[in-house]
Amino acid sequence: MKTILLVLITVFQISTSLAQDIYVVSKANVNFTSDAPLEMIEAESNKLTGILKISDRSFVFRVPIKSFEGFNSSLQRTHFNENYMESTKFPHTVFEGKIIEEIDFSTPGTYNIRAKGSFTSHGIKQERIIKCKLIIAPNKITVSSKFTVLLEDHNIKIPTVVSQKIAEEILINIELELVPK
Amino acid sequence: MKKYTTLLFIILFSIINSFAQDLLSMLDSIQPVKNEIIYEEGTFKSIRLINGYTSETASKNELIFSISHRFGDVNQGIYDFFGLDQSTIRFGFEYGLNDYIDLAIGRSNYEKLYDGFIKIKLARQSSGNKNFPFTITLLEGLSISAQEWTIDEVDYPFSARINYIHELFIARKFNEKLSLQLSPVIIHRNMVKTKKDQNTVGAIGIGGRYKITNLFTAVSEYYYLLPGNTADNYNNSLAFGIEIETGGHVFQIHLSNSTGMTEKAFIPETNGKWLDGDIGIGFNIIRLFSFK
Repeated sequence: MKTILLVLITVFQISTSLAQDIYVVSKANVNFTSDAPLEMIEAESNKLTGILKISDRSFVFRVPIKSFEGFNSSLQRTHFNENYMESTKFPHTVFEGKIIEEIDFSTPGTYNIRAKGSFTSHGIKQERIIKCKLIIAPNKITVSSKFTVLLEDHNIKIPTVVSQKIAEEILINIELELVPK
Repeated sequence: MKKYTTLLFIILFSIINSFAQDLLSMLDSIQPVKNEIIYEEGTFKSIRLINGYTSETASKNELIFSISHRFGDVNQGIYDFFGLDQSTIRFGFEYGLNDYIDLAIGRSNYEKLYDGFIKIKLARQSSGNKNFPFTITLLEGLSISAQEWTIDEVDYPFSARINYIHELFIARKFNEKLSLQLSPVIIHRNMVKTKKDQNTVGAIGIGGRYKITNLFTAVSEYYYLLPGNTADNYNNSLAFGIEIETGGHVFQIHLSNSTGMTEKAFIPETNGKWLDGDIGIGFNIIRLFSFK
């Protein structure tokens, strides 16, 4: 009887600790800017999903490429999906890894952290360390980050004819809100 | 003893459990990739295939400016510089009221034609949550000739200058490289040149594109005249071309046996024969402006 009770308590404890351990993205905004000499291109998506496991500070974030909207014309959006990102072949960009700093998630406050992991876009995996700002509040974590991605790193080739219209380095701006699962 | 075994089992189980589930599969179970309706985009890269139009419309607040040139026949030789000395021109604007309806106006020096039309996207090709195999667009237009009458004595009414066009584009994008369209069309001319000509002419167009590289696309278009006097006295329009896309521009260069650039001109009034070398070089420059 005592044993059964112990088992029940342990199982209950594990399950509750697991539940608080996982944070999921509830609100997201990702936008990118290509600032080239002849043209500025901007697009954004609200379809980013992801989870953060605070016990081991690991995370995974994923955004569907076809969900990006904006651009200067619908033709440009088609070119983005078909010619450059090949989004039918590589539907998502994924960032998966761990937070380097051992921060205390139970203390509310603002933390500047580095997220280290593999950044996979256009089917090419790159090891990246991305600086982020975390604002921890009770039952809510806000993440914001600005970083750049080099097209060359992900084997995205730009024809010479349009090289003045597409930047080699793309600026990415991310705002996320995570809540306990 | 039994107690320890149970405890050990629980600890082991929880460790295994935390290892077994990697984060990405956990994400898949918490926030799965939604099966949304995916509408096919960019079936054709511009509103024009060659001489005729495509199932594409200008999207909301998008203005498309196009300049088209058709030169004379190449078989005229060096004296006319292979036809480049003569040119037929049309320029036009197409504006998207929303993503489904657009309005267009144009002017061509072929019979001094003013033309205008409305294009309505009736259905969109989609996959995912909703499957539909075609994009269907309706074109309703008219053209008015401003050319002076050659016979001064006869007083023709204004209506004699008007021509109507009804065309349906049924297009399918098979993959990123290949798109095809079928376009049944009815043209009604209020006045024709000779008594033998039909006022109402039907035709069926087929056209397609095949992407060679990210920049170059091969395009082709054929309009088959339905049997009748017009089909007996005129030729079917056939054209081949190359399309070059650069972000805001689409540039098309092609060979065709037609010199007109409005449906009234190239469908029932094509005189040129490919086999006789009545082939003209032509190009379209299409520029997109967005007013967001």
